[in-house]
Amino acid sequence: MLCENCGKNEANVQYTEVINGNKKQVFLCEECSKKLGIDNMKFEFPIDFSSFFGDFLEDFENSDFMPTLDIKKDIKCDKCNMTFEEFMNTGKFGCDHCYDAFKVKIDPILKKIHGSNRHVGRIGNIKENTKIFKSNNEEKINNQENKIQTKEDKLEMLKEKLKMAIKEERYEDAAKLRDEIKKQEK
Amino acid sequence: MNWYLQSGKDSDVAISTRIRLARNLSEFKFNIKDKESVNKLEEKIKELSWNIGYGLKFFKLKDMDDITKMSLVEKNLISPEFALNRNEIGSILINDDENICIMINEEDHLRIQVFSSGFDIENTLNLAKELDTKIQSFLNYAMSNDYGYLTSCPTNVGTGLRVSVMLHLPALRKTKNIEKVLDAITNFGVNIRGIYGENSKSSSDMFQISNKKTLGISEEDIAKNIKIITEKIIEQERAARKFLIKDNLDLEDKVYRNFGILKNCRKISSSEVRELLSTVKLGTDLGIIDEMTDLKVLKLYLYTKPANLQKYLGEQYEELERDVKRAEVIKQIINEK
Repeated sequence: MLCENCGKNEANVQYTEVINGNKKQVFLCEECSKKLGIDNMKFEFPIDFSSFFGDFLEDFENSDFMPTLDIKKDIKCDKCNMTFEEFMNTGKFGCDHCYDAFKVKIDPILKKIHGSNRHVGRIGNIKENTKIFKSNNEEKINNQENKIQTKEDKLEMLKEKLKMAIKEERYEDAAKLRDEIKKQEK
Repeated sequence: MNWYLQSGKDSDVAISTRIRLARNLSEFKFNIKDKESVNKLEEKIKELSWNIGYGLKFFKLKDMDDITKMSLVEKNLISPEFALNRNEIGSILINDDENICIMINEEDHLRIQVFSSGFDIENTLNLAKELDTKIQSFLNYAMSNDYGYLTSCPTNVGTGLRVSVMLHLPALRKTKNIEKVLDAITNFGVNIRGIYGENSKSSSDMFQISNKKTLGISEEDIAKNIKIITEKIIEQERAARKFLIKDNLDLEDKVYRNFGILKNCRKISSSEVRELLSTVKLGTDLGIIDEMTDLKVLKLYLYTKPANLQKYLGEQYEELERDVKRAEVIKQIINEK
Protein backbone atom coordinates (compact mmCIF):
# COMPACT_ATOMS: atom_id res chain seq x y z
CA MET A 1 0.00 0.00 0.00
CA LEU A 2 1.26 3.47 -0.85
CA CYS A 3 1.35 6.39 1.54
CA GLU A 4 -1.96 8.27 1.51
CA ASN A 5 -0.21 11.59 1.94
CA CYS A 6 2.51 11.60 -0.74
CA GLY A 7 1.37 8.58 -2.75
CA LYS A 8 4.98 7.74 -3.52
CA ASN A 9 6.44 5.61 -0.76
CA GLU A 10 5.32 2.36 0.78
CA ALA A 11 3.12 3.06 3.79
CA ASN A 12 4.38 1.53 6.99
CA VAL A 13 2.77 3.69 9.63
CA GLN A 14 -0.86 3.24 10.48
CA TYR A 15 -2.30 6.26 12.24
CA THR A 16 -5.70 6.02 13.89
CA GLU A 17 -7.46 8.99 15.39
CA VAL A 18 -10.70 8.74 17.32
CA ILE A 19 -12.51 12.01 17.94
CA ASN A 20 -15.97 11.91 19.50
CA GLY A 21 -16.36 8.33 18.45
CA ASN A 22 -15.48 9.02 14.81
CA LYS A 23 -12.66 6.82 13.77
CA LYS A 24 -10.25 8.10 11.15
CA GLN A 25 -7.49 5.96 9.81
CA VAL A 26 -4.63 6.86 7.49
CA PHE A 27 -1.68 4.93 6.18
CA LEU A 28 1.53 6.91 5.86
CA CYS A 29 5.11 6.36 4.91
CA GLU A 30 7.81 7.00 7.47
CA GLU A 31 8.82 10.34 5.98
CA CYS A 32 5.30 11.76 5.90
CA SER A 33 4.59 10.56 9.39
CA LYS A 34 7.70 12.42 10.48
CA LYS A 35 6.59 15.55 8.64
CA LEU A 36 3.18 15.35 10.25
CA GLY A 37 4.80 14.94 13.63
CA ILE A 38 3.33 11.59 14.50
CA ASP A 39 6.52 9.64 14.36
CA ASN A 40 7.48 10.38 17.92
CA MET A 41 5.08 7.84 19.29
CA LYS A 42 7.83 5.27 19.60
CA PHE A 43 6.13 2.46 17.73
CA GLU A 44 9.01 0.16 18.33
CA PHE A 45 9.28 0.82 22.02
CA PRO A 46 9.23 -2.37 24.02
CA ILE A 47 6.39 -2.93 26.44
CA ASP A 48 7.06 -1.05 29.62
CA PHE A 49 7.64 -3.75 32.13
CA SER A 50 6.49 -1.81 35.15
CA SER A 51 2.86 -1.31 34.11
CA PHE A 52 2.60 -4.87 33.01
CA PHE A 53 4.22 -5.96 36.23
CA GLY A 54 1.52 -4.49 38.43
CA ASP A 55 -1.16 -6.30 36.45
CA PHE A 56 0.78 -9.48 36.68
CA LEU A 57 1.05 -9.16 40.45
CA GLU A 58 -2.61 -8.39 40.90
CA ASP A 59 -3.57 -11.37 38.83
CA PHE A 60 -1.20 -13.41 40.81
CA GLU A 61 -2.71 -12.33 44.09
CA ASN A 62 -6.26 -12.83 42.87
CA SER A 63 -5.62 -16.22 41.41
CA ASP A 64 -4.80 -17.50 44.86
CA PHE A 65 -6.97 -20.48 45.47
CA MET A 66 -8.07 -19.08 48.79
CA PRO A 67 -9.05 -15.60 47.72
CA THR A 68 -10.92 -14.84 50.94
CA LEU A 69 -7.62 -14.75 52.74
CA ASP A 70 -6.43 -11.67 50.92
CA ILE A 71 -4.43 -9.42 53.16
CA LYS A 72 -5.94 -5.99 53.21
CA LYS A 73 -3.40 -4.19 55.34
CA ASP A 74 -0.66 -2.58 53.32
CA ILE A 75 2.92 -3.16 54.32
CA LYS A 76 5.23 -0.17 54.31
CA CYS A 77 8.99 0.08 54.03
CA ASP A 78 10.26 2.09 57.00
CA LYS A 79 13.38 3.31 55.19
CA CYS A 80 11.89 4.90 52.08
CA ASN A 81 8.19 4.87 53.00
CA MET A 82 7.16 2.97 49.91
CA THR A 83 4.03 0.88 50.39
CA PHE A 84 3.59 -2.53 48.86
CA GLU A 85 0.78 -1.15 46.77
CA GLU A 86 3.10 1.48 45.32
CA PHE A 87 5.58 -1.22 44.48
CA MET A 88 2.84 -3.15 42.72
CA ASN A 89 1.98 -0.13 40.63
CA THR A 90 5.50 0.70 39.54
CA GLY A 91 7.16 -2.69 39.64
CA LYS A 92 10.24 -1.02 41.10
CA PHE A 93 11.48 -1.06 44.66
CA GLY A 94 12.15 2.21 46.47
CA CYS A 95 15.32 1.20 48.30
CA ASP A 96 17.31 -1.83 49.43
CA HIS A 97 15.27 -2.20 52.60
CA CYS A 98 12.04 -2.77 50.63
CA TYR A 99 13.19 -6.34 49.98
CA ASP A 100 13.17 -6.94 53.69
CA ALA A 101 9.98 -5.05 54.37
CA PHE A 102 7.97 -6.83 51.67
CA LYS A 103 9.64 -10.16 52.15
CA VAL A 104 6.53 -12.19 52.89
CA LYS A 105 4.87 -10.89 49.78
CA ILE A 106 7.72 -10.90 47.32
CA ASP A 107 9.07 -14.38 48.00
CA PRO A 108 6.34 -16.07 45.97
CA ILE A 109 6.63 -13.40 43.27
CA LEU A 110 10.37 -13.88 42.94
CA LYS A 111 9.79 -17.60 42.73
CA LYS A 112 7.40 -17.00 39.88
CA ILE A 113 9.88 -14.79 38.01
CA HIS A 114 13.10 -16.67 38.63
CA GLY A 115 11.93 -20.12 39.67
CA SER A 116 13.69 -19.52 42.96
CA ASN A 117 13.74 -16.91 45.69
CA ARG A 118 17.17 -17.39 47.20
CA HIS A 119 20.49 -16.14 45.90
CA VAL A 120 23.17 -18.73 45.22
CA GLY A 121 25.75 -16.73 43.28
CA ARG A 122 28.76 -14.80 44.45
CA ILE A 123 28.53 -12.09 47.01
CA GLY A 124 32.00 -10.64 46.42
CA ASN A 125 34.48 -9.32 48.92
CA ILE A 126 32.29 -7.41 51.25
CA LYS A 127 33.62 -4.16 52.58
CA GLU A 128 34.00 -4.46 56.31
CA ASN A 129 31.39 -2.02 57.41
CA THR A 130 28.84 -3.12 54.84
CA LYS A 131 25.64 -3.94 56.56
CA ILE A 132 24.10 -7.09 55.26
CA PHE A 133 20.73 -7.30 56.79
CA LYS A 134 19.73 -10.64 58.12
CA SER A 135 16.21 -11.25 57.14
CA ASN A 136 15.04 -14.40 58.69
CA ASN A 137 11.42 -14.50 57.93
CA GLU A 138 10.21 -16.85 60.60
CA GLU A 139 12.10 -14.90 63.20
CA LYS A 140 10.51 -11.69 62.09
CA ILE A 141 7.03 -13.09 62.14
CA ASN A 142 7.67 -14.56 65.55
CA ASN A 143 8.89 -11.23 66.81
CA GLN A 144 5.81 -9.62 65.46
CA GLU A 145 3.77 -12.27 67.18
CA ASN A 146 5.02 -11.14 70.54
CA LYS A 147 4.03 -7.61 69.87
CA ILE A 148 0.62 -8.44 68.55
CA GLN A 149 -2.12 -7.31 70.86
CA THR A 150 -5.41 -7.45 69.09
CA LYS A 151 -7.12 -10.56 67.89
CA GLU A 152 -7.55 -9.01 64.48
CA ASP A 153 -3.82 -8.54 64.01
CA LYS A 154 -3.15 -12.06 65.04
CA LEU A 155 -5.66 -13.36 62.52
CA GLU A 156 -4.08 -11.25 59.83
CA MET A 157 -0.70 -12.68 60.61
CA LEU A 158 -1.93 -16.25 60.64
CA LYS A 159 -3.46 -15.73 57.23
CA GLU A 160 -0.17 -14.37 55.95
CA LYS A 161 1.61 -17.40 57.35
CA LEU A 162 -0.94 -19.68 55.74
CA LYS A 163 -0.43 -18.03 52.41
CA MET A 164 3.31 -18.54 52.67
CA ALA A 165 2.82 -22.17 53.64
CA ILE A 166 0.63 -22.77 50.60
CA LYS A 167 3.05 -21.06 48.27
CA GLU A 168 5.91 -23.06 49.66
CA GLU A 169 3.83 -26.21 49.42
CA ARG A 170 4.08 -26.98 53.14
CA TYR A 171 0.57 -28.39 53.28
CA GLU A 172 0.81 -29.93 56.72
CA ASP A 173 1.71 -26.55 58.20
CA ALA A 174 -1.06 -25.03 56.12
CA ALA A 175 -3.63 -27.39 57.57
CA LYS A 176 -2.54 -26.56 61.13
CA LEU A 177 -2.69 -22.86 60.37
CA ARG A 178 -6.11 -23.21 58.78
CA ASP A 179 -7.42 -24.92 61.93
CA GLU A 180 -5.98 -22.19 64.09
CA ILE A 181 -7.54 -19.50 61.94
CA LYS A 182 -10.90 -21.22 62.28
CA LYS A 183 -10.44 -21.33 66.05
CA GLN A 184 -9.55 -17.64 66.17
CA GLU A 185 -12.46 -16.61 64.01
CA LYS A 186 -15.00 -18.18 66.34
CA MET B 1 41.49 -0.65 17.49
CA ASN B 2 38.26 -0.66 19.47
CA TRP B 3 36.61 -3.99 20.21
CA TYR B 4 33.69 -3.31 17.89
CA LEU B 5 36.01 -3.11 14.88
CA GLN B 6 37.74 -6.38 15.74
CA SER B 7 36.81 -9.89 14.73
CA GLY B 8 36.59 -12.23 17.69
CA LYS B 9 36.04 -15.94 18.14
CA ASP B 10 33.18 -17.33 16.01
CA SER B 11 32.53 -13.86 14.67
CA ASP B 12 31.11 -15.23 11.43
CA VAL B 13 27.94 -15.71 13.52
CA ALA B 14 28.52 -14.17 16.95
CA ILE B 15 29.09 -10.44 16.56
CA SER B 16 29.69 -9.47 20.17
CA THR B 17 29.37 -10.48 23.80
CA ARG B 18 28.18 -8.24 26.61
CA ILE B 19 28.18 -8.76 30.36
CA ARG B 20 26.10 -6.49 32.54
CA LEU B 21 26.01 -6.31 36.34
CA ALA B 22 23.30 -4.29 38.07
CA ARG B 23 24.48 -2.78 41.36
CA ASN B 24 23.12 -0.32 43.90
CA LEU B 25 24.66 1.52 46.80
CA SER B 26 23.01 0.97 50.15
CA GLU B 27 23.29 4.60 51.25
CA PHE B 28 20.99 5.89 48.50
CA LYS B 29 17.40 5.14 47.67
CA PHE B 30 16.89 3.37 44.35
CA ASN B 31 16.22 5.34 41.22
CA ILE B 32 17.26 8.71 42.62
CA LYS B 33 16.02 11.81 40.85
CA ASP B 34 16.47 14.65 43.34
CA LYS B 35 19.41 16.92 42.55
CA GLU B 36 21.10 16.60 45.91
CA SER B 37 21.32 12.81 45.90
CA VAL B 38 22.25 12.72 42.21
CA ASN B 39 25.12 15.13 42.85
CA LYS B 40 26.27 13.15 45.84
CA LEU B 41 26.29 9.91 43.86
CA GLU B 42 28.07 11.54 40.92
CA GLU B 43 30.74 13.09 43.13
CA LYS B 44 31.32 9.77 44.83
CA ILE B 45 31.79 7.90 41.56
CA LYS B 46 33.86 10.66 40.00
CA GLU B 47 36.28 10.66 42.92
CA LEU B 48 36.57 6.92 42.72
CA SER B 49 37.24 6.73 39.01
CA TRP B 50 41.01 7.10 39.57
CA ASN B 51 41.00 4.41 42.24
CA ILE B 52 39.03 2.00 40.10
CA GLY B 53 41.57 2.31 37.30
CA TYR B 54 41.12 0.62 33.88
CA GLY B 55 41.49 4.06 32.31
CA LEU B 56 37.90 4.89 33.16
CA LYS B 57 36.83 8.48 32.71
CA PHE B 58 33.76 10.15 34.10
CA PHE B 59 31.28 12.06 31.90
CA LYS B 60 27.88 13.55 32.68
CA LEU B 61 25.26 12.93 30.00
CA LYS B 62 24.17 16.56 30.04
CA ASP B 63 27.72 17.68 29.23
CA MET B 64 27.84 15.57 26.10
CA ASP B 65 26.41 16.66 22.74
CA ASP B 66 23.52 14.72 21.21
CA ILE B 67 25.55 13.15 18.43
CA THR B 68 28.10 11.76 20.88
CA LYS B 69 25.34 10.34 23.03
CA MET B 70 23.56 8.79 20.06
CA SER B 71 26.83 7.36 18.76
CA LEU B 72 27.18 5.53 22.09
CA VAL B 73 23.62 4.24 21.76
CA GLU B 74 24.36 3.02 18.23
CA LYS B 75 27.37 1.11 19.53
CA ASN B 76 25.06 -0.43 22.16
CA LEU B 77 27.25 1.03 24.92
CA ILE B 78 24.36 2.83 26.60
CA SER B 79 20.62 2.22 26.42
CA PRO B 80 18.46 4.61 24.36
CA GLU B 81 16.21 5.04 27.39
CA PHE B 82 19.20 6.19 29.44
CA ALA B 83 20.40 8.66 26.79
CA LEU B 84 16.97 10.15 26.19
CA ASN B 85 15.20 10.14 29.53
CA ARG B 86 18.01 10.38 32.03
CA ASN B 87 19.94 13.21 30.48
CA GLU B 88 19.80 15.35 33.60
CA ILE B 89 20.66 12.66 36.12
CA GLY B 90 22.76 10.11 34.27
CA SER B 91 26.50 9.85 33.81
CA ILE B 92 28.98 7.27 32.55
CA LEU B 93 32.40 5.86 33.27
CA ILE B 94 34.06 4.78 30.06
CA ASN B 95 37.58 3.85 28.92
CA ASP B 96 39.28 4.70 25.63
CA ASP B 97 38.85 1.18 24.26
CA GLU B 98 35.16 1.48 25.06
CA ASN B 99 35.05 -2.15 26.18
CA ILE B 100 34.05 -0.96 29.65
CA CYS B 101 31.11 1.36 30.08
CA ILE B 102 29.41 1.87 33.42
CA MET B 103 26.05 3.62 33.33
CA ILE B 104 25.50 5.64 36.49
CA ASN B 105 21.97 6.29 37.67
CA GLU B 106 20.26 4.22 35.01
CA GLU B 107 17.52 2.06 36.50
CA ASP B 108 20.11 1.00 39.05
CA HIS B 109 22.85 3.17 40.54
CA LEU B 110 25.49 1.28 38.60
CA ARG B 111 25.16 -0.80 35.48
CA ILE B 112 28.62 -2.26 34.97
CA GLN B 113 29.04 -3.37 31.37
CA VAL B 114 31.94 -5.13 29.70
CA PHE B 115 31.99 -5.85 25.97
CA SER B 116 34.00 -7.99 23.65
CA SER B 117 33.90 -8.85 19.97
CA GLY B 118 32.83 -12.32 18.92
CA PHE B 119 31.75 -15.07 21.28
CA ASP B 120 33.77 -14.80 24.48
CA ILE B 121 31.65 -15.13 27.60
CA GLU B 122 34.40 -16.39 29.95
CA ASN B 123 36.91 -13.58 29.54
CA THR B 124 34.26 -10.90 29.42
CA LEU B 125 32.63 -12.21 32.58
CA ASN B 126 35.98 -12.46 34.34
CA LEU B 127 36.81 -8.86 33.56
CA ALA B 128 33.37 -7.77 34.78
CA LYS B 129 33.81 -9.71 38.04
CA GLU B 130 37.27 -8.22 38.54
CA LEU B 131 35.93 -4.73 37.98
CA ASP B 132 32.98 -5.40 40.27
CA THR B 133 35.23 -6.66 43.07
CA LYS B 134 37.37 -3.55 42.72
CA ILE B 135 34.37 -1.22 42.92
CA GLN B 136 32.94 -3.18 45.81
CA SER B 137 36.12 -2.58 47.79
CA PHE B 138 35.32 1.14 47.76
CA LEU B 139 31.55 1.21 48.01
CA ASN B 140 28.83 -0.38 50.09
CA TYR B 141 26.62 -2.34 47.75
CA ALA B 142 22.99 -2.96 48.62
CA MET B 143 22.75 -6.67 49.21
CA SER B 144 21.24 -9.34 51.38
CA ASN B 145 22.09 -12.92 52.23
CA ASP B 146 18.80 -14.14 50.86
CA TYR B 147 18.47 -12.10 47.70
CA GLY B 148 22.06 -11.33 46.77
CA TYR B 149 22.59 -8.00 45.00
CA LEU B 150 19.47 -5.89 45.39
CA THR B 151 18.13 -4.10 42.34
CA SER B 152 15.40 -1.62 41.59
CA CYS B 153 13.47 -4.14 39.52
CA PRO B 154 12.85 -7.64 40.89
CA THR B 155 13.72 -9.14 37.51
CA ASN B 156 17.40 -8.33 38.03
CA VAL B 157 17.86 -9.23 41.69
CA GLY B 158 20.32 -11.91 42.82
CA THR B 159 23.37 -11.93 40.60
CA GLY B 160 22.25 -8.78 38.77
CA LEU B 161 23.91 -10.46 35.81
CA ARG B 162 22.77 -10.30 32.23
CA VAL B 163 24.87 -12.16 29.66
CA SER B 164 24.04 -11.26 26.07
CA VAL B 165 25.42 -12.38 22.75
CA MET B 166 24.61 -10.62 19.49
CA LEU B 167 24.11 -13.08 16.66
CA HIS B 168 23.97 -12.71 12.88
CA LEU B 169 21.61 -15.38 11.56
CA PRO B 170 20.95 -14.66 7.86
CA ALA B 171 21.01 -18.27 6.68
CA LEU B 172 18.51 -19.45 9.30
CA ARG B 173 16.22 -16.67 8.16
CA LYS B 174 16.73 -17.25 4.46
CA THR B 175 15.98 -20.95 4.87
CA LYS B 176 12.96 -20.07 7.04
CA ASN B 177 14.26 -22.06 9.98
CA ILE B 178 14.63 -19.18 12.36
CA GLU B 179 11.21 -19.61 13.97
CA LYS B 180 11.93 -23.22 14.77
CA VAL B 181 15.20 -22.32 16.42
CA LEU B 182 13.67 -19.45 18.37
CA ASP B 183 10.81 -21.64 19.59
CA ALA B 184 13.15 -24.35 20.70
CA ILE B 185 15.47 -22.17 22.71
CA THR B 186 12.87 -20.13 24.59
CA ASN B 187 12.26 -23.29 26.58
CA PHE B 188 15.71 -22.97 28.09
CA GLY B 189 15.25 -19.81 30.14
CA VAL B 190 16.71 -17.42 27.58
CA ASN B 191 15.36 -14.36 25.86
CA ILE B 192 15.95 -13.81 22.21
CA ARG B 193 14.96 -10.69 20.38
CA GLY B 194 15.46 -9.25 16.97
CA ILE B 195 17.60 -6.16 16.85
CA TYR B 196 16.27 -3.24 14.78
CA GLY B 197 12.96 -2.85 13.04
CA GLU B 198 10.88 -5.36 14.95
CA ASN B 199 7.74 -3.74 13.62
CA SER B 200 8.74 -2.87 10.10
CA LYS B 201 8.89 -5.26 7.20
CA SER B 202 12.64 -4.89 6.99
CA SER B 203 13.36 -6.90 10.09
CA SER B 204 17.02 -7.68 10.32
CA ASP B 205 19.14 -10.77 10.65
CA MET B 206 20.57 -9.63 13.99
CA PHE B 207 19.37 -11.28 17.16
CA GLN B 208 20.33 -10.84 20.76
CA ILE B 209 20.21 -13.74 23.15
CA SER B 210 20.34 -13.26 26.91
CA ASN B 211 19.50 -14.99 30.19
CA LYS B 212 16.10 -14.51 31.82
CA LYS B 213 16.79 -15.57 35.38
CA THR B 214 19.15 -13.77 37.73
CA LEU B 215 18.17 -15.24 41.09
CA GLY B 216 18.72 -18.73 42.44
CA ILE B 217 21.30 -19.49 39.77
CA SER B 218 25.02 -18.80 40.01
CA GLU B 219 26.96 -16.56 37.63
CA GLU B 220 28.80 -19.60 36.31
CA ASP B 221 25.59 -21.46 35.54
CA ILE B 222 24.04 -18.44 33.84
CA ALA B 223 27.15 -18.11 31.68
CA LYS B 224 27.21 -21.83 30.95
CA ASN B 225 23.56 -21.88 29.86
CA ILE B 226 24.00 -19.01 27.44
CA LYS B 227 27.21 -20.54 26.18
CA ILE B 228 25.65 -23.91 25.41
CA ILE B 229 22.58 -22.43 23.75
CA THR B 230 24.65 -19.99 21.71
CA GLU B 231 26.90 -22.82 20.54
CA LYS B 232 23.83 -24.72 19.39
CA ILE B 233 22.51 -21.73 17.45
CA ILE B 234 25.92 -21.13 15.85
CA GLU B 235 25.97 -24.77 14.80
CA GLN B 236 22.49 -24.48 13.26
CA GLU B 237 23.35 -21.26 11.43
CA ARG B 238 26.50 -22.80 9.98
CA ALA B 239 24.52 -25.85 8.85
CA ALA B 240 22.02 -23.57 7.12
CA ARG B 241 24.89 -21.72 5.43
CA LYS B 242 26.27 -25.00 4.11
CA PHE B 243 22.86 -25.70 2.67
CA LEU B 244 22.67 -22.27 1.02
CA ILE B 245 26.11 -22.54 -0.52
CA LYS B 246 25.06 -25.71 -2.36
CA ASP B 247 23.29 -23.43 -4.80
CA ASN B 248 26.39 -21.32 -5.10
CA LEU B 249 25.43 -19.30 -8.16
CA ASP B 250 22.18 -18.14 -6.61
CA LEU B 251 23.85 -17.04 -3.38
CA GLU B 252 26.82 -15.45 -5.16
CA ASP B 253 24.41 -13.51 -7.34
CA LYS B 254 22.52 -12.22 -4.31
CA VAL B 255 25.70 -11.21 -2.51
CA TYR B 256 27.09 -9.33 -5.52
CA ARG B 257 23.77 -7.63 -6.28
CA ASN B 258 23.64 -6.27 -2.73
CA PHE B 259 27.29 -5.31 -2.92
CA GLY B 260 26.65 -3.59 -6.22
CA ILE B 261 24.00 -1.33 -4.74
CA LEU B 262 26.17 -0.48 -1.74
CA LYS B 263 29.13 0.37 -3.94
CA ASN B 264 27.31 2.30 -6.62
CA CYS B 265 24.43 4.06 -4.93
CA ARG B 266 24.45 7.84 -4.76
CA LYS B 267 22.25 8.12 -1.68
CA ILE B 268 21.13 5.54 0.82
CA SER B 269 19.35 5.28 4.19
CA SER B 270 20.89 3.52 7.18
CA SER B 271 18.18 0.87 7.27
CA GLU B 272 18.78 -0.03 3.61
CA VAL B 273 22.50 -0.34 4.32
CA ARG B 274 21.74 -2.71 7.19
CA GLU B 275 19.61 -4.90 4.96
CA LEU B 276 22.09 -5.06 2.08
CA LEU B 277 25.07 -5.43 4.35
CA SER B 278 23.65 -8.50 6.04
CA THR B 279 23.90 -10.52 2.83
CA VAL B 280 27.28 -8.98 1.99
CA LYS B 281 28.55 -10.03 5.42
CA LEU B 282 27.25 -13.53 4.80
CA GLY B 283 29.13 -13.56 1.49
CA THR B 284 32.29 -12.29 3.19
CA ASP B 285 32.09 -14.92 5.95
CA LEU B 286 31.62 -17.65 3.34
CA GLY B 287 34.47 -16.33 1.22
CA ILE B 288 32.31 -15.69 -1.86
CA ILE B 289 33.27 -12.06 -2.24
CA ASP B 290 36.87 -10.98 -2.69
CA GLU B 291 36.33 -7.23 -2.50
CA MET B 292 35.39 -7.27 1.17
CA THR B 293 37.16 -7.98 4.45
CA ASP B 294 35.82 -8.48 7.98
CA LEU B 295 37.12 -5.08 8.99
CA LYS B 296 35.39 -3.35 6.07
CA VAL B 297 32.10 -5.04 6.96
CA LEU B 298 32.37 -3.91 10.58
CA LYS B 299 33.30 -0.38 9.54
CA LEU B 300 30.34 -0.23 7.17
CA TYR B 301 27.97 -1.40 9.91
CA LEU B 302 29.24 1.24 12.32
CA TYR B 303 29.94 4.30 10.20
CA THR B 304 26.67 4.19 8.26
CA LYS B 305 24.58 4.64 11.41
CA PRO B 306 23.34 8.23 11.60
CA ALA B 307 25.32 9.51 14.58
CA ASN B 308 28.49 7.56 13.87
CA LEU B 309 28.43 8.72 10.25
CA GLN B 310 28.56 12.29 11.49
CA LYS B 311 31.27 11.39 14.01
CA TYR B 312 33.28 9.78 11.20
CA LEU B 313 32.94 12.85 8.99
CA GLY B 314 33.41 15.20 11.92
CA GLU B 315 30.52 17.36 10.80
CA GLN B 316 26.78 17.63 11.30
CA TYR B 317 24.40 16.94 8.40
CA GLU B 318 20.65 16.99 7.81
CA GLU B 319 18.91 13.71 7.08
CA LEU B 320 18.88 14.08 3.27
CA GLU B 321 22.48 15.23 3.16
CA ARG B 322 23.38 12.30 5.35
CA ASP B 323 22.01 9.83 2.80
CA VAL B 324 24.32 11.31 0.16
CA LYS B 325 27.31 11.42 2.51
CA ARG B 326 26.59 7.86 3.59
CA ALA B 327 26.89 6.63 0.02
CA GLU B 328 30.25 8.43 -0.26
CA VAL B 329 31.55 6.95 2.98
CA ILE B 330 30.54 3.45 1.88
CA LYS B 331 32.50 3.82 -1.34
CA GLN B 332 35.47 5.15 0.58
CA ILE B 333 35.48 2.21 3.00
CA ILE B 334 35.02 -0.39 0.24
CA ASN B 335 37.93 1.10 -1.70
CA GLU B 336 40.28 1.20 1.30
CA LYS B 337 43.45 -0.73 0.68
